[in-house]
Amino acid sequence: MQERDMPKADLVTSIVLIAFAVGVVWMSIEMPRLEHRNINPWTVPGLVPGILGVIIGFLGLILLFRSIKQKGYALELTGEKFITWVKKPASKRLWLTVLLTLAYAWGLIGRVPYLLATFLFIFAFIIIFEYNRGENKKKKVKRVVIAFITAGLAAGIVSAVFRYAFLVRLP
Amino acid sequence: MIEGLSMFMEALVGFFKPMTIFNVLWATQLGIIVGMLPGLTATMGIALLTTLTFKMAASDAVLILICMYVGAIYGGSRSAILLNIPGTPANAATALDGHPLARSGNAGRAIGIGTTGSFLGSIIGLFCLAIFTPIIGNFALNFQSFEFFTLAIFGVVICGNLTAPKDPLKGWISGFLGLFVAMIGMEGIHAYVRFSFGSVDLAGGIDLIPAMVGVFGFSEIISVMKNEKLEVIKTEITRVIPRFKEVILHWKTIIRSGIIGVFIGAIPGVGEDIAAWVSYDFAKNASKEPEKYGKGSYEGLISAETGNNAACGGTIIPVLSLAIPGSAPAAVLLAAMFIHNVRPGPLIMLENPEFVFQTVAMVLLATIGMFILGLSMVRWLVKVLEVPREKLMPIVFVLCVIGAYAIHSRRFEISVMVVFGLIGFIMKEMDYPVAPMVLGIILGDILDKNLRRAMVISEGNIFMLFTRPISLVIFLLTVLTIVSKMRWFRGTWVAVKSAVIGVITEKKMKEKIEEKRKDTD
Repeated sequence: MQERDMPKADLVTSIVLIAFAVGVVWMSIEMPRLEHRNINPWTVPGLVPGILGVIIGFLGLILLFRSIKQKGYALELTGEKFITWVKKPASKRLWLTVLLTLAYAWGLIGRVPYLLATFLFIFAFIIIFEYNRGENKKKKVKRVVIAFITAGLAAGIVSAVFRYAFLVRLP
Repeated sequence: MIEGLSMFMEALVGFFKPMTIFNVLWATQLGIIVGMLPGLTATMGIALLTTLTFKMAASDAVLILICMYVGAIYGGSRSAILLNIPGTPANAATALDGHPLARSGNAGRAIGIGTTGSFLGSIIGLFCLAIFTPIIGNFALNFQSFEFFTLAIFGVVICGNLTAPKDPLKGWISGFLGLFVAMIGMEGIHAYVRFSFGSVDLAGGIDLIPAMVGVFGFSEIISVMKNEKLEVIKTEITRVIPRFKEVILHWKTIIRSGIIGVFIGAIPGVGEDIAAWVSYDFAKNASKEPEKYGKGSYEGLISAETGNNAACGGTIIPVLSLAIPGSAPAAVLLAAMFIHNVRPGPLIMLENPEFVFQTVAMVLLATIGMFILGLSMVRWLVKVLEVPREKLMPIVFVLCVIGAYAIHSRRFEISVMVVFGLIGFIMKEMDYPVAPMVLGIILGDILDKNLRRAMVISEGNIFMLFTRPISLVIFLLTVLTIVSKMRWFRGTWVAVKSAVIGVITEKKMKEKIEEKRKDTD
């Protein structure tokens, strides 16, 4: 993130932090006092989270005032800016990485056998990131073959090591 | 002292078995490779190895993790020198002088000097570990609830201060959020489940290792893939083993950086990267050739590398004596010790003093392994840096997933890893340090239990904190740490300093004028 955009980001963060802190304090106050167990009132479960909520809220307020002082309220959010950001190569790589990793961790794992899921993830990751439209067909085929072998070997070795050497029941 | 030495010798002799030496060699080599590769950090390496060494005996497992730790902190210097990208955050200062040296064709010499600096730093670290752990451990026996409560707050505050020197507010926010994360799940006094929203998984709390694999592993993968590709500079690596004269020339820098490294390392949560920067800064200020710093100074390189590896020993001091980690990798080491039923903390010098000296022997073995492996196979290992990130990163992510899953065999831990990875990435993008958050997760339980116990003991009188000397000192240090970052304080401090210096200079000037007058008379 660029230095000049930091006050804007800080403003948004501070609002999220304050809202979060209010939620924490409220939930801490609502927590049972366990009087029926005759506990010491200073040991109620909500005491420490409540104090932490107050501190986080206080720090959030300081961040809010600071970002306002640095004119962070001028968010200048426009559709054009968003499109420019999305089109940046770095943004594309970021979203692709997040999408692929989430698809593997939350989509494939547990639904598809581990070995297959891992193979598919590694293969797709390599192919997508190494794809180069300008390359000739021979090079493209070579890349696919190398990706296939790499994914197969990595998935096989990781599965075997964790299953047989470390006795982990694979997901 | 003699007893400690004999326990150390006994531990060292006990480790001289072929299997142990084999473990030292592979774990250190793996550590060097993990450290070398940008995107793989020491913390992640230790966290993943914790899951792999889960079923081993405690001493073997901890030895392997320490080898990984020492190896990775050193290994990061390779990519710092050859790529200008530190393999681990601890090697950021190394890149400043290491890379210009590599560019000028001195890559081999730079690697050799860096390795020697790391070795000597690690040796200083292990001496301090052996000397100070028993002293602090015995002193910590005086700690009670108020002391542990203030220590937990101090840890988070100082960690926030030092890991975010430009904006400590963000460091503190990160630390207090970490403390809050530790509140999730069943609390330790009345077994009441907090902030679980009916989820059975959340009722068990957030496990440290999956959270750390996410924060230090997954978030790094996203960062590496987002950033531009790195180019390895083509340079011929000639002589690596440094000459004795080249090293002894910098003896003052080595000792100074070693001591600074240990001291910074021992401060809760601060870590090897800050140790390297502070060592580098001190070396530059004391140097006869400060203008060479940043352009290829061997002195600068050796100061950073000595500082970060000395910090490894330093970070283990509070782990063993207080059960509070000095850095993120040390935090995983602490968690691994608990997994293996070793209970570090103030009672260790009463319950298990042998383990302290066993740890010193482990650091020594790791240091020797790092030195030998660091000076050999250099040309071959450089090829590892040429593995494209598109092939490496998905495999690393697969290891993050299975590593997080392996501890409890629950898919919930995979989700924890993913969520903390995304949080860690966003935090880094917005200049929030993640180390205070991790420290907060560890210290949260200590803070929670000890504050409530202290309130019971004092019958709700929080002011009792000021009547106990140790807690009062820690409290004042915490206040000073916060206040020292405030503009008005810094302004007053500068004014007072210049006034005092001004008075002294004025006095000296008057004395000189007086002397001159006497001479002319």
